[in-house]
Amino acid sequence: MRLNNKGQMIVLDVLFAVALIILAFLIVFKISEVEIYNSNSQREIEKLNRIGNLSYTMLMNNGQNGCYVTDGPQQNFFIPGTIKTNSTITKENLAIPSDYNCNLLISGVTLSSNQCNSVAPTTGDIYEIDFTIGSCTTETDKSTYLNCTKSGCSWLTEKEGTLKIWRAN
Amino acid sequence: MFKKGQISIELLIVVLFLIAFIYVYNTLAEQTVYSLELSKIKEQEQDIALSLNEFLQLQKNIINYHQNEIINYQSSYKIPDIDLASKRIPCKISLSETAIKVDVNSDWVVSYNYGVSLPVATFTLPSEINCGQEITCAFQSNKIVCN
Repeated sequence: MRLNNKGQMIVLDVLFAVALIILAFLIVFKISEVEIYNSNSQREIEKLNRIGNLSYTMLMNNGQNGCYVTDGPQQNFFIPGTIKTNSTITKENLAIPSDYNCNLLISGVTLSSNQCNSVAPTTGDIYEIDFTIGSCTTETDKSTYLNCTKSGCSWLTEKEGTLKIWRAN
Repeated sequence: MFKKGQISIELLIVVLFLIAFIYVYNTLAEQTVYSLELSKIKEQEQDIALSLNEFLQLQKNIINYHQNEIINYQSSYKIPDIDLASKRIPCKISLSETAIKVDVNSDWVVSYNYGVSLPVATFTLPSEINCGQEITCAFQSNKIVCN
């Protein structure tokens, strides 16, 4: 320890050291805080993406809303990736939690009941997916369906859709 | 010239400062590690709740696909564990019609509650299940029965 001629330590050195230590502490805390904030916000985005992906899967593979081919009484076959225009779309059947809002728009299709009709915010995180979906108004029989797969038909028409999901405030 | 007493007092101050510094540094380092571990646990709790919900929600489709029970449908999902770098943390999952709640109650007490819709008309669910366990759902009498 260096002392001056009055027997005192060189205070300025100590002061600098203390200031540097405090500065180092502050930097470490700031970095930790930023890391934790980033991790939390990343977690929210990850949650939103997973909710969105699940909803999209539920929309595309939902036997409640999809188109069916019939082959005799009690013999209905669901066609994945389709939607019937008189469907009822609810947040529940798309597995969207109550604290999230959604907007489902399929061009040229007016759904009978669509709970996913909130207006998407202009700011904040939004899950958005554009997709192509087959649309029908009624069920059809097996022979019509088989003809459709060979040469196309009017029973199932290709439509463009957009699904948006975001966290409600 | 300096006096001998003055050196000892200054030395004492330096020693006290060092002790205080080590104590504060140690406490803050522990708290930072605790916060990071808490954040890691919460992240994994969320992952468990979301993945379990995904598994259960996707089971719903089987009701629409196979109304006549033409197959013996059964599907299993092994719920992940919560792991930190140093150890595995035990956790419990409470399932209800409206929520999946993941609880850690050890050195850390952290809960994650995820609001869901798993209607009793469609699902028969165990009220509690542990992380790391396997949940198996079968299609019985037009219902998804999970154990």
